[in-house]
Amino acid sequence: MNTPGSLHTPAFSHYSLAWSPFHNARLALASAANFGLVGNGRLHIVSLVPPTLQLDKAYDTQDGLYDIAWSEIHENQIVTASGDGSIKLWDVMLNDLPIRAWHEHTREVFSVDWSNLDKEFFISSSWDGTVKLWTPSRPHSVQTLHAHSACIYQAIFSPHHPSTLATCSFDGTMKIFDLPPSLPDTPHPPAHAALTVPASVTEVLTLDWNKYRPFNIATAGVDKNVKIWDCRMVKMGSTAEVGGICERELRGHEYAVRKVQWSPHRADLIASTSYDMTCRVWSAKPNPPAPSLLHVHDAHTEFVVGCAWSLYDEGLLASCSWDCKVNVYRV
Amino acid sequence: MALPALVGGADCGPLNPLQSLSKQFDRDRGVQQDHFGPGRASTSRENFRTRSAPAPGLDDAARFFSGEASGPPFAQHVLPDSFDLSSLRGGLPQQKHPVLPLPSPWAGDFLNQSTLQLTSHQSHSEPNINPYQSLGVDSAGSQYRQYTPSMNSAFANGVFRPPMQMLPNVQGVTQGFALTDLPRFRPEAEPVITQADFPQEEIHQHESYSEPIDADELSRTAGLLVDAVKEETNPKFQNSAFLGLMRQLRDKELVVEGAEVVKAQVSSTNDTLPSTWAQDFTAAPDVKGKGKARADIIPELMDGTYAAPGSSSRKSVHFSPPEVFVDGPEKIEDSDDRYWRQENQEYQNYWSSLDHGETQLAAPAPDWDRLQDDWDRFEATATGIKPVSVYQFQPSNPYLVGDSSTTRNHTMHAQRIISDQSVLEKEAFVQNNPRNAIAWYELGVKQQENERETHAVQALQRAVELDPSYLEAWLALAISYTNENDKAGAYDAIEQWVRNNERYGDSRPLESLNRESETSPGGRQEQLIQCLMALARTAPDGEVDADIQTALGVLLNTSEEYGKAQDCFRAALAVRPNDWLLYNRVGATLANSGQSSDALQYYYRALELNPSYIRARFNLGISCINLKSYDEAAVHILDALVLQENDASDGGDTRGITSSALWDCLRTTCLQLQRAELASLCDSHDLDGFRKAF
Repeated sequence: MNTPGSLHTPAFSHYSLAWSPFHNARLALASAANFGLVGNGRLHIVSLVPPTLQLDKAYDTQDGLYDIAWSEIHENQIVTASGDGSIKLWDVMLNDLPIRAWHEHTREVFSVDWSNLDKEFFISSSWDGTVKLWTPSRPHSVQTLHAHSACIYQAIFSPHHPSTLATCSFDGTMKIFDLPPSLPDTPHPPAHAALTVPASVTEVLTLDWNKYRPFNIATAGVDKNVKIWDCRMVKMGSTAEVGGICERELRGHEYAVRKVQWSPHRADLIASTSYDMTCRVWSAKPNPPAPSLLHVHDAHTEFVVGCAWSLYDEGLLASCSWDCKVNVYRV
Repeated sequence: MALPALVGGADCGPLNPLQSLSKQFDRDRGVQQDHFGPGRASTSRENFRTRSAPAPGLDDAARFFSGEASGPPFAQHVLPDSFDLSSLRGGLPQQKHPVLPLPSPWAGDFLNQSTLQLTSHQSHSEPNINPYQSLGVDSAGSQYRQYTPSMNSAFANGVFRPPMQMLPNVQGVTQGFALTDLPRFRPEAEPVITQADFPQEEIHQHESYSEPIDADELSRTAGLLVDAVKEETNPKFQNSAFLGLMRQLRDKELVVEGAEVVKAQVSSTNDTLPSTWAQDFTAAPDVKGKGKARADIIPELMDGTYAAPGSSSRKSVHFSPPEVFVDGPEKIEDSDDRYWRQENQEYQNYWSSLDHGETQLAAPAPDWDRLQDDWDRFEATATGIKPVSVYQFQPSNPYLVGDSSTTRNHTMHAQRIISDQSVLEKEAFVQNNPRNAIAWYELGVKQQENERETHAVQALQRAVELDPSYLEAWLALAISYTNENDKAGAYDAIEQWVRNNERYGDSRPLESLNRESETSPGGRQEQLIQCLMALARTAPDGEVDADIQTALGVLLNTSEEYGKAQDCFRAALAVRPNDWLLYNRVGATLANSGQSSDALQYYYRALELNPSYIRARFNLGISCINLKSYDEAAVHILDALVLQENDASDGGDTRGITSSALWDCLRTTCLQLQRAELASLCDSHDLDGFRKAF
């Protein structure tokens, strides 16, 4: 394995990173001072210029940034999730200030995800237990989903069905929702999940949809295992169901797993990062031809919290950590 | 906990980056607990516990946590209405402010927060007397609402999540408390009326939201976090800047000021303060310390220097102004100017007058007595960092009266029969014979069987304290430590077992054991295993020492060598074919290595031998879950809960006696069975509800 690049950003620990869907060498990093415990945040725009990474731009924010998502419709726009409950849209051609800011969540926004099917929309999830649907042109959220009664750590759109999304929460469940057609903004009752998967007895910190197999979802969290669920039995729009078949459990991380991401190029390849300070790549073939662990990236010196596969360059993986570094490498 | 966001009406518990971090550490411990406890799929019991803190006032807690019971510190579960504030009202200055009578104008969304702040604060022993509170609350009130969101910042949620959640030892404390001592538990949270530190946002600055931050809380939490990884041998963890920061926070070398982490500058006992009120002046943290003066008030209350609890002098010490302001600004007049001194002087004056006024209203002496008791106990427990060795007995034990039971017990114990006595009987016997190591041992084993590990550890520790040569107790203690994932403790216990074993005490392999501190945990384990193997070999031909095999099995479990561990337990079983504990261990070892179906027969056998063996029943339930027979699993877990309840109580309030690990497991099972309504009963630990449902 070679290391195409590494970048150190003193004083700012990274929480998340995302490759641009438009430029093959552009990355954005969500970062926070003091390990995100207190203080400011910073959005970094980074280019991969082999053999190194180069910092193009940085935007300071009032509170730590926890997640980030590139617009699927505008190559220069990027949305960030912040600890103060705000969501901001940035244009990387401009300097200093965001082009939009929304503040509806009452607690930390911990994830944002841009739909790559309905490219006008993105969702955010927050510790206030809600998922909100947004579009840059509107001053308020389009829809609010009271998805869990506990904190939601991540919410992401299905890559296969435009109105379908999945959430994972402190309460140990992963839920799949079908967004109802937009209603006038009335007080919504707690939303009914099409499927609730009791994924763990502890918190589920992260999830990802398999890009090739619809309703194949990976979850991971405090129980340290990456679990792969087959949720094909879900019937969208019907009554709430509970279940989910765990078709694979990937064990090896020594502490909680913070992030999982399926490869955009292969159906059975998945990367995970953990508080054990490693980033690992697994083979997730349902009937295990052992070993499932393909690669361990051990270079980070603090908790590894984010990772992302390059969308253009197969096998190129970036991971970011509280050690203020982002590493890009080939696996 | 000074952190409103944590409790702030949010449905979830504490959360933030750190939260998951710490949870994850919990998890780490949890793994080990699987060994003799739940099988793999059950994941961490620690996490089970984490959510469990609920015991007291669970229903009430539900109000705040919407049933999520995510494990706030115990005090948070104590309701405002459980505080008997009225009696204290006269005693403390804060009473004057609209803070305590909860419904204050700005309360609104802040209400819950402040309530909880109060409680948790008290429980965490940090009564902050904050002058600004009195000065600023009213005027700032309107701003609270406005800034409430700011309090949700990550910091508030994370680092400050209640330490109770983070680590077993603390957790254990909570549990011990909660489970056994409900009645006495409540007053604990009541004592001193501290106002929670309200954010002094009147001087709000644009860029830095700042929450009042309780330095002790932070330090303690950081300490727990650091403790959680102390076993970690990976050098990356030793070198981690983040963990380094946590260490410094623990040692109070660093504190949080506003939105920054800075070097601590105040050397008094309560160095940092919720600092925001001084932010507009941007300087002079030390003066802030002075201004607050709380340092003078609290430590005295805390450190037990009051020899005479309840004496009225205490009260006057607390509130007589000269004492309170004993170290005025002069003392540390460093770079700070007269302005500050004057500022402080004003505070002093304000407080002096206030305190004078308040002193007139004497609190009834009994209250102070009780208060002192509470504080005393608090020291021992709520800090959580110190190991707690005080075993908490169930209150109102009916077996405690009359000595007939004593004699009966005594004969039984004398014959070393592990009887079908209930925990209460055993506790009564122990209480009547507090120096009887055997009694403590029996109680410990019983608690193990009943899936109440913390109690088991405490009882067993007591047993070996009383009789260091008590081999069975050392072995049992090793097992409990393993379940609690205290590897070092387990190694110590096994080493003691070897050293005190007369049969092998003078044998050669022992000498190969280095002094404990010299080797890494991994090395120690290897050494112990070698030593035990050598001992096993020294046995006469064909003879198997079941204890050695058991000890080996325990050790191998700590290193996840389940195959070998199984062999050891089986070898022990061959010698003791009727030991239900061993059957359960073989079963658990099998389950941990993923062979749940094979484990079943061992659990069944264990239950045949001892039908009230709760742990085996629980393990059986877990294996059923792993095998996806949820119906059966639910039955077993429910049985275990019923047994646990029956065993440890004689009617009355039983919440808190049943273990939350069981409840959480049952909840998951109910969800799997698509019985959401039953799952919600689990959230409230409502066994009666289940009885009605069937």
